Amino acid sequence: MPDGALSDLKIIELSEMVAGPFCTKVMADLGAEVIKIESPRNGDPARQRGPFPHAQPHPERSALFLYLNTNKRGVTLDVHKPEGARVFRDLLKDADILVETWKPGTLAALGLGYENLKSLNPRLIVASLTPFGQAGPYKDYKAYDLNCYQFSVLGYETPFNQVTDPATQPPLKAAGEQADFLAGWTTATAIMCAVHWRHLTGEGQHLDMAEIETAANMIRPNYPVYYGERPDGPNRTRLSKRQEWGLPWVWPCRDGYVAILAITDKHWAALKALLGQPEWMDDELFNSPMGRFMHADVIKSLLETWLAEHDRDEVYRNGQALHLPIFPVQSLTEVMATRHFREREFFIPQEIPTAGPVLLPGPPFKMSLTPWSLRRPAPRLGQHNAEVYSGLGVGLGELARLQEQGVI
Amino acid sequence: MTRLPLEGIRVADFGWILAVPHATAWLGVMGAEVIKIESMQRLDLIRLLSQLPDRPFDLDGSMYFNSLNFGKKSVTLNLGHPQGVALAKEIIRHSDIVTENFTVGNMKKWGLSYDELCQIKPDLIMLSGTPLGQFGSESQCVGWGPHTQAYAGMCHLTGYPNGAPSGLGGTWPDFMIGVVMAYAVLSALHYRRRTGKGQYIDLAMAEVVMSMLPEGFADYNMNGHDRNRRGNRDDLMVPHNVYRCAGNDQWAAIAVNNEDEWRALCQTLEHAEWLVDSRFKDQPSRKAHEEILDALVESWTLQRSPTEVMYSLQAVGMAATPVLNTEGLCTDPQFQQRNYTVAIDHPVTGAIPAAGIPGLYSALPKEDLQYTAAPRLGQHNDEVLGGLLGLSAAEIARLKEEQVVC
Repeated sequence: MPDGALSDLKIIELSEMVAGPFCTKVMADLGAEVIKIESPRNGDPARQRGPFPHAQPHPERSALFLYLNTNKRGVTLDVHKPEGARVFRDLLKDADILVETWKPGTLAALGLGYENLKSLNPRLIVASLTPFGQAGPYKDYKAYDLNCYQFSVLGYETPFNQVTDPATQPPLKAAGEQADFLAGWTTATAIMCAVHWRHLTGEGQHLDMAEIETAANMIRPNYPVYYGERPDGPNRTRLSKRQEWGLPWVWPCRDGYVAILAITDKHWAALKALLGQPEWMDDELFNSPMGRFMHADVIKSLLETWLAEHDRDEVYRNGQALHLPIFPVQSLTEVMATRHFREREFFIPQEIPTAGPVLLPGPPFKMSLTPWSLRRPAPRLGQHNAEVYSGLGVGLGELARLQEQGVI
Repeated sequence: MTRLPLEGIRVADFGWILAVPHATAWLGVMGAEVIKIESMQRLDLIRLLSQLPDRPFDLDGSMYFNSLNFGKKSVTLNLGHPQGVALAKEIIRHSDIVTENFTVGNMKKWGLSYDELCQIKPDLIMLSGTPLGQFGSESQCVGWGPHTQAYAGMCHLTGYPNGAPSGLGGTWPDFMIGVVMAYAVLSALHYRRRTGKGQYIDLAMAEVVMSMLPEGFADYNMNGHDRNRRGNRDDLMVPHNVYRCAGNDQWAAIAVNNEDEWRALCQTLEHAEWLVDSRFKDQPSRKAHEEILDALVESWTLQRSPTEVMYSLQAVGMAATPVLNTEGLCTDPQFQQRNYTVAIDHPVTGAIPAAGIPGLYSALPKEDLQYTAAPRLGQHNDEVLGGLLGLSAAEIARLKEEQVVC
């Protein structure tokens, strides 16, 4: 087994669904030892979410759960019960990191807040990830991915520069759970900052992560533009937003769509060459980035007319040959068939019960010395109870008793 | 004085535009010395965008650039000149990390490939971020972050039902990928602290996007189901949408995940009869009648502002939030109480609030983090070339004259 970049870190996960589990997954994928705690009754609700093989729901066959929890071990534990809390403290004694996504104050009410855990293990890094963070007027509010994406202005700007009628085109969320996945990446990054601080000081700390903030981080240019612009500036409505960037990114062709972004003079020259140097593109209105922003609507209609008579892949190939930033809009079928990703061995077969090995996304970046590895499949509910708890000195008899009492 | 996590770590940063600059902003704020290597020949294009209104154009006056490059130094080296490359190598000799997001092959062309740089700095960590990665049949393709989401399947899956595929808000996925780049570098640095070994990171932006679409790929590979666009709707949750509210272009996002939330919705909207309506008796039935249900919910939200919708529904334990626009974001009390923005005084633009680095760290108060003003173009030439590399003032003057430093 190759050494992982993070294989000296031990993480306890008290979290469910997407954001928290994805955070610990990306760390487990780099070698960290992750123990996932699930509630003894039904476990992580992600087990109830599909897709499932043949669309037949089953708690051990959720592809979402299996993807998010590979490389982890799993135990069941009811932390609300006093004995459960004791076992939880035992687990944290030699852990490096706790990732928890419970409502603010819940763990503290059980005597398991950061201050309690710090006296137990001063080196422990605790990352608390919730929609709105640990303090403030909305801290106890509920929010799912839809809410976080829409609350952070990302929805207001999707579809990007394609809104023509705000009345019939509401703010739009991205496919899947993008705010949740992003919160996972961002929390893992913040944890690594705390790990480096611990290298210097030997001390842990508490991270207060708010999903609305990790999402708003994506529209960071909006802040200075808002504070710096005139009161009648371009950011006020979704329609006038277009003035800021000029053209949309996604364009219809004869047989599909392409994404084009031709902002610089160099890109504009490449686009001209792609279109066969039409006369209209030589107009001095378009000879600077600012001019093209100002007259985006003229460009849009002429470019659309041309694209409607050309095929997607031809436009992509010819555009790239001219160094124009242009890519086809691919369906998942097409992505899976893309030779490039096969050559990079991006998709990795992962075992899903009754479906067999299923190709799922693998390493999002390749590290030359510590390659991504798939060490173990996601745990079945409570799969590692005996292994993990015996490591804490819990005997077989006690294990049975704890199970009977619903602690594990 | 608080010690910062990356004190003593130096980054030679060739990154430009958005993704890598966002990654190195994290590193700089966390205490690394980030030396941004740029030049007039190869200007970071973001310096051209978003100037303050009613001011003369200034390469140091871009609010956009300044809100993304705080905590860094700027050195201007002409990489088209052999001496420029030699100076870049000298900076790398004194650095721990190199970051770059040029088209594949550019660093090699300049003699700055990872293999060559390891000759002068054996434990170097280097990250290259490109649309499709360093190898593979399409790796030469040029593109920006927003294109990679098209190639990765994200745009195909995002959009209104029966509508066109859509680009995502902001400049997704650039900033998101910047976070992942910072994570990759911090992980490699952790490994180096343990083993003394550096390594190379090949990051493909499209693959980061794909790692966040597991359900679509699983559904296709298990069931042959090629998903399409579904607006704001969810596989299971219902109602799950944005609803028009009172006012112009005002919206609220509401998601109902379980029976408790459904009962709370019916009671708050004063439609207890929905609880016994056979069309809505369980989640699959409600899913089958989603259009009708959405219209009923919207007839309630239309009478209220987005914040009223939030207060009413959150009070009964439901996930309901306004859809914020930029103004809402900048005035919302939750964001304000978290002090997410930082106002760093800048000699050209003044102290305009910018988004900080997400998260509050109990041991790292925000005021102690390295939020220094974004550098003016070449601001640190003398400091880095003279101080770090030990060149004399006369040598630096000569390099400027010969357009090596410019």
